Amino acid sequence: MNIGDYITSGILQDYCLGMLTIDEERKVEMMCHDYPDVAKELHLLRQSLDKYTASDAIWHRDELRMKVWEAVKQLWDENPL
Amino acid sequence: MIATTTYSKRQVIPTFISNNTKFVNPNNDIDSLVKLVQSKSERGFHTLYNKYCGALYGIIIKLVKRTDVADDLLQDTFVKIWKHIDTFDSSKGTLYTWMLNIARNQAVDYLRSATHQKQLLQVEIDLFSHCTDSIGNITSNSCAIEFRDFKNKALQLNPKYTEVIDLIYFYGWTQEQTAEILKLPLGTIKTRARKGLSLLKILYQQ
Repeated sequence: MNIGDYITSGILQDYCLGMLTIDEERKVEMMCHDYPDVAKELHLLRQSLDKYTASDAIWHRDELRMKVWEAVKQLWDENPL
Repeated sequence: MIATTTYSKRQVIPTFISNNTKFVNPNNDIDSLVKLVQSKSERGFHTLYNKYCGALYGIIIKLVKRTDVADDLLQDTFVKIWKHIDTFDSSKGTLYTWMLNIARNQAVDYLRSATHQKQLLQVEIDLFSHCTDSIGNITSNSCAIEFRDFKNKALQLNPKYTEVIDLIYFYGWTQEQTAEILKLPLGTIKTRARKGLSLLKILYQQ
């Protein structure tokens, strides 16, 4: 098996996002055990997801959207069509 | 042993989706979107926001470097877009360029403002105190601004990727359910989830 191809196949992203079956997850974990490059890539992907979670970007985006919508709605209420 | 990924199975619909279940297909033609916004429809607003908030926020944050300011400027940008959408003329340029110019002008106006000049002075003072020890020697090149900027790096990513990651990872929907919610083919969901995470990795490694 070509490790480079395995790393770029997308299966590690699927693993991080919880999109694999238990059997598929086990296979990924075995690959990480056998190939340090795979483990390293998986670590980096998980780290990115952790940072994304910690950034509160999702909550921030939703909050900001509603804040912007309120401002836009207020403008509309003041100046209806 | 690598920990198995766990994620919430709350099965709730995020506000932006529930407010917005019938939003215009992302591949719609821009004319319908403009008409929707011109009619001051809430659906039009959410569609416009979904499609362009990342790009507009990206240009603003690059210029002003502060997320609290960028939040306000994004709000002002959308208010301006909303107010002047009737003056948009597709024969003179694309909607995207038109909106990008509004966002850029908002940011540039802010940078020229007296408020910003005052904040700049305060930032310089903060930077000096962060980067020196008690006797004034320079100890580090790190600064609070970089951290603030870093915290919201994800907001620079195109929302088409983050909405898929959010629905699958945070809200616990399956890929099939996510495809149904976003009215996109399953293959597109898989591709966007993988690419989105790869892009996050690149973004956080910068």
